[in-house]
Amino acid sequence: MGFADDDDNLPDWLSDLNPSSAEEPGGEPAKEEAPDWLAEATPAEGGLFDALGDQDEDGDDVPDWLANIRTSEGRAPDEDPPPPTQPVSFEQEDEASADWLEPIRARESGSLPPLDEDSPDFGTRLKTLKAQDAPEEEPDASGDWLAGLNNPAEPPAASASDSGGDWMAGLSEPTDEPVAGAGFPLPEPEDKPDWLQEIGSGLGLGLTGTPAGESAPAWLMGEESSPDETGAPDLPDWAAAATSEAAEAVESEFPGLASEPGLGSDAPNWLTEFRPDAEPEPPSAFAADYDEAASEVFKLDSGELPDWLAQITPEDALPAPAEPEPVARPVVDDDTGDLAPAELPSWLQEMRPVASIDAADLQDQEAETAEAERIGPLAGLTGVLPAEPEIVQFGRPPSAASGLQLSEIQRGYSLQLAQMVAEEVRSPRRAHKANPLPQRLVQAVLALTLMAAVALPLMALLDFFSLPRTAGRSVPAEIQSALDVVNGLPPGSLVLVAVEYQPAFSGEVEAAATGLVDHLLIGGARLALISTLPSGPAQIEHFMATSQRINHPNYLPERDYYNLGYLPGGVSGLLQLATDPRVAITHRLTDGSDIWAQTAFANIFRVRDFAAVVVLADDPDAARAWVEQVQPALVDPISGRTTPLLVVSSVQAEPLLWPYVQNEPSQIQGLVAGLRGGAYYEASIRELRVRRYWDAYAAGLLVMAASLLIGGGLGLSRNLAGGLKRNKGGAR
Amino acid sequence: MSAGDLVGGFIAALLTFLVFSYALGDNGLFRLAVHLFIGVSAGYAAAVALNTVLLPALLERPLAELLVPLFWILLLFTKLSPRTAVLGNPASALLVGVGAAVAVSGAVQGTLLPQVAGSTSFFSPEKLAGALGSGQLGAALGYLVNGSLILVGTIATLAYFHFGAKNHPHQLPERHRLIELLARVGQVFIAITFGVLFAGTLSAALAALIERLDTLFDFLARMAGSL
Repeated sequence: MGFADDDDNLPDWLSDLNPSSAEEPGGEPAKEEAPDWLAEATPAEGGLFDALGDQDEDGDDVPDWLANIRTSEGRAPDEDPPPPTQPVSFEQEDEASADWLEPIRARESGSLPPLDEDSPDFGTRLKTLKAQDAPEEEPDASGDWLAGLNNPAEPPAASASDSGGDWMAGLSEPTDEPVAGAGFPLPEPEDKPDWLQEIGSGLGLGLTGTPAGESAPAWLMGEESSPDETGAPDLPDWAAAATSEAAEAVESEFPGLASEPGLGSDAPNWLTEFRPDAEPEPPSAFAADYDEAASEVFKLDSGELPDWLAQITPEDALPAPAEPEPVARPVVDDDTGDLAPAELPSWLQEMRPVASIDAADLQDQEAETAEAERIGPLAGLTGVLPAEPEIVQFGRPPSAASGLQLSEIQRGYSLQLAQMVAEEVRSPRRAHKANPLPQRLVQAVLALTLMAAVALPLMALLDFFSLPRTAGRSVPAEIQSALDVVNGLPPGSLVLVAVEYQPAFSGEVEAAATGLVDHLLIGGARLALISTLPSGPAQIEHFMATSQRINHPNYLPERDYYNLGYLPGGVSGLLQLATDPRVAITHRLTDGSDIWAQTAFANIFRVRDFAAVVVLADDPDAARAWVEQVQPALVDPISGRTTPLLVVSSVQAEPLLWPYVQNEPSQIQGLVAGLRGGAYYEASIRELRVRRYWDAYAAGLLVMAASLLIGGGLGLSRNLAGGLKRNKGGAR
Repeated sequence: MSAGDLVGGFIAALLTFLVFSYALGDNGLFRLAVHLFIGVSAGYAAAVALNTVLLPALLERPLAELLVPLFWILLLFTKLSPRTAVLGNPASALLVGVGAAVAVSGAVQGTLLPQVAGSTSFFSPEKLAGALGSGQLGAALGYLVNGSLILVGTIATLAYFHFGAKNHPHQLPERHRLIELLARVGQVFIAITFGVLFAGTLSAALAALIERLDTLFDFLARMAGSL
């Protein structure tokens, strides 16, 4: 067989099974080490297959072990079982098989004639056995059990009982009691051979758990017997003592447990709850396979089984049928009325996990809420998985929360922040203090005083305060520069005037600009007014109508001055105006003609082509935008001639425009700021609007200055008084 | 006095009194006048933009010139809906970018560089030599004083807005002593500047009050004259 080549690589246990070890000198180890049952079973199992290859009726070619089998099968029933046959090693089998295989090989090679169909080979014997009425008539039967397979109508009742042991004999005896609780239909006794009936009855006992009674073998009976009857003789003293102590403890704990009918003495009380009331399930396919294997095992002589195998019963080897796990429901004993059901508090009831809800209730609820499928191949089924939109959750998956790794510094920051928030919450909210009557009264008194100081000079039309010029003071440089610029403009020159003030400051800016614009009109200049504010066009018309209509009634729009309207784009529009005014200004006159088709604009191609640029602004940012975007374009890079930029601004923008005036070279050639600048300008030309406002302006400034002084003095005195009180309190 | 002047003058006088009511505290009449002013200003601005900018551009210019502007206008209109607002980002970016570039370049070329040049010109040796050579000692001193004030004021004001300080253990962070000294000087310059601006604001408000009262008295006088 070649097993000797691999002998070194085999493990010990496999080496023991290696038949080559039988050839070792020093006796027959295989015979000695193999158990008795194995030594007996080995030739018996191989006898069938060897017999299939046996083609000769003579015993010459039959090996010895086969001869022993035949001998044992053909022995008389009253004969004792034959002694165990020595196990034959594979080498010996090879030798033996070589002898009986020789005719086969010879026939295949043609040296011997083919077998005659009448030759009593194995198949022929099967046919013969099938045709026989009684197995007793067959002198050389290969086995009664095989004959029983062929002729189940007449089972060989005596052969199995004879060949089996005592316990097998007991199995062979028919039992009058039906097999109770069998989960699968057993064949009728008359439809199966005796050995199958015996095995079936034996297995049926084991599987169904029905008490075997007299028909059970001794070892099977021991399963049902009490430990005192079976286990005690075999247990050592210490084990027997422990067993007896355990039995006494159980008896004391559960009195009457041992007398519980239908249960083993070891079954506790709780186990009785799970006693199956219904019939057990039919054995599985594995159990059926086990029946076949067990039938082979049961053929063995019980007297030849090892001790450990003899103690194994089919019930132990067969896996217990899977029983449904009992639902972990609390067993409510109605009889134990002393125990009241526990009442959980509401808060604890809410904390109870949802998983503790009864699963059966959940299933019922799911069954109630399940909707039957209406369309598709699954129509009519309930519990179908929902459609994809319910399964797929669109959007960002929930992010798993992770613990923050905080350092000590970060922890300190978080604590400080928490303290700050807590203090903020705790801090009393300052109650909304209604305006007290004295303060509101002070406001009203101040307002009325200021209005009165302004209104009286306006209504009286008294020249109480003289203009600055008349006081003999020199004109400021920035105003004088503006006067010089206007005086230097040729008659009929076109001046660009930017109206960049809001209506709220129109009173101041228009009053300051009245003298300068009047000066321009006197000099014969024509004005092109434009604004980057949406309200600019209206401001232009308002200024020209209110300031110049009285002094220059013949100065008409679109002939002497042009309202170019709104210049969009902010600083970008200003930059475009400085770069290409013909693109930036798209104004059309009321008759639809283009502004650039007018004679006054014929020579205007760049912004420096205007005779001068005058900006009327109330905001320093508006004036600065003109300085930054337009003023650089007013300088001719070739000749170096600079078109003058004059600014008439509110007095609040004056401080921020001074740097452009005093810069070297100056970016603003003339600045007229507020009523004071307008007064200087009008005083230099002629008294106009500022003269009307000057007394009111001076009176108002006096009242305001007095109010500031009085209020500041009161506040200072109150603070000083408070400081003195605190100092006195601290000193005490 | 025409009816239009009469109605207009009456409404103006009424609104003026409504605004004056603020002297007694914030009230509904004042807020009514303010809301009217805001609404009228917005409406007038929209009308001006439509009449002087949009309609002339759409009606007078050929369509080929309007394709690109209309495209940008449509992108800006997508800002009206939050769903399509992202489409208007390029137009907004163009407006903001161009505006910022124009403003920054104008500030550098029109304010920063000229002001730096003008401030340093007070210390120009040629300028001082010219003044001294012409016998104008006072002018030369004036140049030096003005230049020094501008220099000190500029440095001190910048130092006031310098908040860098070294962190000392177990101590509050403090600025350098020199920086602290300059910052206090700069604080004086800033206080003077704010005082001047506050005075200008008061003066401008007073001028506005005078103009309003003068307009009101003029209306009353004309009404009285018409009667």
